[in-house]
Amino acid sequence: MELRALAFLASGILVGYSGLVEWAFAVSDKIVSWLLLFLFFFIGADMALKGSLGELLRLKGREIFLPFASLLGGAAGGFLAGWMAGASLPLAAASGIGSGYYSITTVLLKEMADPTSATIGFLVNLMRECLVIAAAPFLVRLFGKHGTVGIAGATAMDVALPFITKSAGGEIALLSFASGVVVSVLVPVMVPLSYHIVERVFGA
Amino acid sequence: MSVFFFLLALLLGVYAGKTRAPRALVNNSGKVLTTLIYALLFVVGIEVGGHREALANLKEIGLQSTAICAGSVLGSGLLSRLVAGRGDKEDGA
Repeated sequence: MELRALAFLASGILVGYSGLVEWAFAVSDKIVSWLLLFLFFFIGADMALKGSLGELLRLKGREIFLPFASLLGGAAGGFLAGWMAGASLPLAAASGIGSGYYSITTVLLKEMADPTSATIGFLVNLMRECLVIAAAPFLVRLFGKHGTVGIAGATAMDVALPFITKSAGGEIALLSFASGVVVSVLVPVMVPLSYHIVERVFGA
Repeated sequence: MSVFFFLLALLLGVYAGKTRAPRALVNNSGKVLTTLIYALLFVVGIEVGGHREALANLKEIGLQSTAICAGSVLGSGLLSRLVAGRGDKEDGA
C-alpha cells in the first residue's frame, strides 16, 4: 500500500508541477469533495461488513481506553510539538490524531486547509508508520507493549502488526488488531473534528 | 463541503453495509476503497505539484512534519502506556 500510495501521490505532484493539466486546478476541489463523499460511504459500508465496531467489545478492562489514549495522546503531542515548531495548531492536532492513517488524513487536510497542510499530514503519518516498522523493539523497551500499540495507531491492525508481535510477543496480537480497527474507524471523524475544535479555540 | 455531509455519507455507508444493499457494490467495498484512496492521492498530488509555494518550502515542511510526528509518537506512547499498560510488569522501562 505505502509504495503504491507514494507512487500515486508522486505522479500527481509531477503532473501538477509540469503544468500539463492547468484546467484540473479549477475543478480539483470539487473532484476531491465528491471522491471523499464516496470514500466515506465505502468506509461506512466496510465497517459494517467487517463488524469493525464490534472489535471494541474484544477489549477488556482498561484496554478499552487504549485506542482513545492513542488518538488523544497523538493529538495533544502533535499540538504541543506543532506549537513549538511554529506550525498551524489545527493542522498539528489533526495530523497528530491521524494515527498513521496517512491516506485519509492527507485528503481530509486538503479538503479543510490547503495542499501544504495535506503534504505535512501525509509526511507526519507516513513517518509514524515507518518508525513503528523500523524501530518496534526500541519502542517496546521505551513505551512498553501497550504504548507501542498506541503509537502504531491505525496501523496496529495491519502493516505494523507483525512488527509489534515480533517485538512485544504474540499475546499482544489480538489487542493490537482490535485497537487498530477502532482507531481506523475513528480517524475519519476525529481528524476534521480535532481540526475544527482547535481552530475555533486557538484560531488558525 | 461541510464535514456534516461526510458524516452523513459514513452513516449511509454503515446502513448500506448492514442491509447489504446494493450488494454487488457494497461487497466490493475494500477494493473500491483502495481505488478511491489512490485516485484521491493522485488528485491531491496534482494540487501539491501546482502549488509551487509548498514545494519551495520543503525544508520548513520537513522540519514541521518531523516535529509533529515526534510529538504525536511521544503523546500516543506515553498516554497509552499510562492508561492501558500500567501494572503490566512485563512492559518496558
